[in-house]
Amino acid sequence: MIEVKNVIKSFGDRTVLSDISFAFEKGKNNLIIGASGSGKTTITKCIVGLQKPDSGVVEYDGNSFWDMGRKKKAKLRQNIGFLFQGGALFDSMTVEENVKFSLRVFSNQTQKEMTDRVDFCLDRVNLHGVKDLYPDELSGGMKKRVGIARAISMNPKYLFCDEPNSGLDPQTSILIDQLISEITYEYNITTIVITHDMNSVLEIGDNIMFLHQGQKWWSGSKEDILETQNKELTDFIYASNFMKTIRDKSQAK
Amino acid sequence: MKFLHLMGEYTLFMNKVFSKPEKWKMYRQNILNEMINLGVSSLPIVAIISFFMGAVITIQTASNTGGGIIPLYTVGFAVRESVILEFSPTIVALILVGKIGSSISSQLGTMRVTEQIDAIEIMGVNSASFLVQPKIIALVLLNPILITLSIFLCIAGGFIAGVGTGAITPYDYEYGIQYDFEPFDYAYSMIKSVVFGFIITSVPAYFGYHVKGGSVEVARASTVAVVQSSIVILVVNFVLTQLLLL
Repeated sequence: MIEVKNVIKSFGDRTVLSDISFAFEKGKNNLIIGASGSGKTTITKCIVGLQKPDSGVVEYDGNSFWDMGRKKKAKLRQNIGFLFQGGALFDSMTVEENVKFSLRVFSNQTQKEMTDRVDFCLDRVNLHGVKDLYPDELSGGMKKRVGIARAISMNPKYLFCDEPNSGLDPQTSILIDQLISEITYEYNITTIVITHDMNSVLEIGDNIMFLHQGQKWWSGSKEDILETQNKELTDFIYASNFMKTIRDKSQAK
Repeated sequence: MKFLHLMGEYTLFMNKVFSKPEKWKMYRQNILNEMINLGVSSLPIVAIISFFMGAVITIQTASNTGGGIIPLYTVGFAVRESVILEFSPTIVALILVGKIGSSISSQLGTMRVTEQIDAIEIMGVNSASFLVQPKIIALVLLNPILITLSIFLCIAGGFIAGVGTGAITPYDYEYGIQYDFEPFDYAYSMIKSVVFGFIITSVPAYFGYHVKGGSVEVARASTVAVVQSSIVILVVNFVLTQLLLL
């Protein structure tokens, strides 16, 4: 489980996160949702240690991240898998080398064991015959899958996915969502998904935090979100005509 | 004030670069790769420039000293001194900054803006050490070899041009090349090549690693890296000359 307590972060005079507290539960898909500029990426960077909060605590299973020494932080990070919005695959490496990267640095496995692990991870994300390709030879959906395969290569305890569906068609988006969800339940890991895709919210949102102007505005599950009367949240959910139509039809019944 | 801030940041960056690697075996492999990427791939440009510069220095020196009371072997002597003391270590370093420095800066800058460096950090790997340390070690080791080759080709170019055009006899040139040779001059050249190898890789790496923004900023960082590295080389060259030759 990951907990953030009273996290505040400002850039100059601009407060980006105001006193955020939330528990991201183990074995669940924890979603951070909100409009662009609401602080989703900043809170994620504070959690994984890419940015230090001005105040507040980030705890991994009860251990405060910012109080850890360098070695302990490095050790913890080996338990973190991160799927970046743009993939962030190493463009000078093949798919196999990308997935193998952490294993080469941190494990003492033989070449065969590492290759077997790469095969397993690629198989898990339903990718076949792409091991020798470079990232620029892959489609957007394939890049996301390779990103997931790389993220799970070290059997992480925590999985972060930054807008996993951005730039993907609806069908591929659903497949990626399902994949993330399956991995979360299968390995009982703490998954945090940053998204503003309402399909993802309704598909996999076990535990949702809605950020608005840097504040935790609402939290609940996918079942609760459609019942909410919170104005800012309903404005966010029903921003698209598609969602408005669903709501109107549902109300008409 | 800005200069002090820059120096402080550069020192902290170097501290991060030279912290203990996660896995030596992987670093050794990376150093070998960088030796090929940075050093071996620079051989053609170093060879071509050195050969022709040697030829030009010889013809110019011969045309300015010929027909007078200055003995002809002075041409070979002047070529050797200017090549070992200044041309090969310093001018080749400035050329390498343009080739290698801009490449390092744009590579790291692109990795920064496409979040590849963040990905390495999140995995628990010291990205500065992993990406930059092998480059610095590779060029610090290879630059003396490149400079030695450059010295040899300059002198060979001078011989072919000088003798080929009839500006100097082979005997006078060879005598001048060997005349009053101080082995310390070569050692001085090698000291400079090691220091310049460090600057050519570390300064552009600093600018590339700290890029913020997009492709325009990557290009800007690459230009700044080349300019700043060139200035640093010229200043350090002056300081080293004072320290070692006076």
